Amino acid sequence: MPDARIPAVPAGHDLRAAAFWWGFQLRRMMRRRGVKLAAVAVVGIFLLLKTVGRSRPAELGALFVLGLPPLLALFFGSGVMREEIEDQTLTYPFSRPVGRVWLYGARVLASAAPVVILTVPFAVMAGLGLGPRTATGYVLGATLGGVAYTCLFALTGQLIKWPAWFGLAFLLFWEGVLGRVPGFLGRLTLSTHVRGLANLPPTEGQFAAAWTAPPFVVSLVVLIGVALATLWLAGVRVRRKEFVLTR
Amino acid sequence: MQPMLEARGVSKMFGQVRALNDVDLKVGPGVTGLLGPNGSGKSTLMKLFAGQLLPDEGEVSLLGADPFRQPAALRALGLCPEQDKFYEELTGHTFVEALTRLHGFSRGEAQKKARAAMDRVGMGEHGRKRLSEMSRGMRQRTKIAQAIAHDPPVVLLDEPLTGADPVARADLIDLVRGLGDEGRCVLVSSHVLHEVEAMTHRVVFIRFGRVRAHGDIFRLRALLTDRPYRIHVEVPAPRALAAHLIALDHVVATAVIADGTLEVTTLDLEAAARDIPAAAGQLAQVVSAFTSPDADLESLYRYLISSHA
Repeated sequence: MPDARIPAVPAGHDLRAAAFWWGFQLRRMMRRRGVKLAAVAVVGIFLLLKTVGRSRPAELGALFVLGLPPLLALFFGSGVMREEIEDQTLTYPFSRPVGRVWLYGARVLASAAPVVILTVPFAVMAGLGLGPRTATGYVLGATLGGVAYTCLFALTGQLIKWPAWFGLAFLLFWEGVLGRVPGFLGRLTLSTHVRGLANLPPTEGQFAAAWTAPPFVVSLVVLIGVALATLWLAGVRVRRKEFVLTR
Repeated sequence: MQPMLEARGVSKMFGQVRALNDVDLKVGPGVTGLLGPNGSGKSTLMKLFAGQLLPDEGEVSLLGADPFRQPAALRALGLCPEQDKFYEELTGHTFVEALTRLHGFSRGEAQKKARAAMDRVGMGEHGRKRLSEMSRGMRQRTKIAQAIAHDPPVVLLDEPLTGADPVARADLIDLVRGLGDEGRCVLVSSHVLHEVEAMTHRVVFIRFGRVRAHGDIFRLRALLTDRPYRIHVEVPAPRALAAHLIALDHVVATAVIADGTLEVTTLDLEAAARDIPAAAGQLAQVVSAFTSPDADLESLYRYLISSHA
């Protein structure tokens, strides 16, 4: 007869379960048609710009560090829990003895993986044309930027009904416009800190000459901080929320 | 002794709809059938016990813990949800193993437990098949396997026999009874009454979000004193037996309903079970069958769901 008491949870269970769930969800993500199509599109764009467009490494870097990661993050991040609700598989992980915050975090980071995988190799190829230091900056910018944007858009997916539209508006008006403004206002955007890490200052526009990169450490802390804070906020919301899965 | 599942004054609203209304229920070890028409609140009650939903009023507990706020309590729970939804690209075995790992087992342990659970539900040979390629019955069995693989003391089975073929149904009924016999608390909902009856005699009737009756089916039936029992007795000379029985206090009516079959309507099933064979013995008649169409779960169910009391 099984013991009619709640079995003790081993120390570090949530973390181990989250690590396993991240790997599980990552494998599922990488099998999705959306990821395969995005991979074909990204490779196509890179080859086209490199051969036909003869783009310079810095231009390629800007695209793969600043341009594509937020768009891919919007695509993969904003519907994180919606897919599980629509296909009604959410019941399975949520009836397990793992904190929902951990399961949510693992799921979001699994969604961030294709963003990183689809941009970092191309950012490296672009950066190596300008030296290993630039390539390292590009890797940091694309990776941390991709993760931070994914976490942010996943949070909006928990808070509002149309996260994709909100995300597009955010990228166009907040990141696109404010990110080019020098000084304090510009530093309120993620793109400024990605630019700072990757050393990719704006080359055109009214404020290009006046733009200064934030200190490296500040950008590092801001991007990691935004990722962690948005993960935590959304995780708390997921923990408190009832997910009514209907037939 | 503390109940393994408990609901205390639980109410749950979905918008303007009250899915559960002031439900008090204690469920202990063994199999308990949860019965009620569609929309009566069975699945809502299951989801509350599984920590998927929060009650608007009252409290639910799983082995004394709040399953929504204390996810660690879910270590003691196995849930077979109603919906036929899976990670379709996985094999049955990988699906069960992955979900077992979330209970804190290592890869090796989870593989072993998943294999044992798949064997137990009769899916040992088909575990390598993708879920998308499985029949509904196989998927149903796989879903039960993921609920029992980690050996939980509490198992919630929401319509577990849906889609299973007759042989699989019989196997699954045996499995559910076996889980109850092992001392687990098994709460099983089903629309198919004779299948529930084959699993257990302990039932909970729920309708319009309220528990209408709870307990042993025979005891519940005995409480319905305003509803006489019909008994079918097969004897060689039913008319002679009828004349003898009608004189008894608890016998309300007698009728020959077929050649050799007498229908006796009684207010006391126990007295009838004693008096009818005795009367047949006095008349030197041999009773070849003695059944009551009103003592089964279906008649009780019909009465309870048609009652407005």
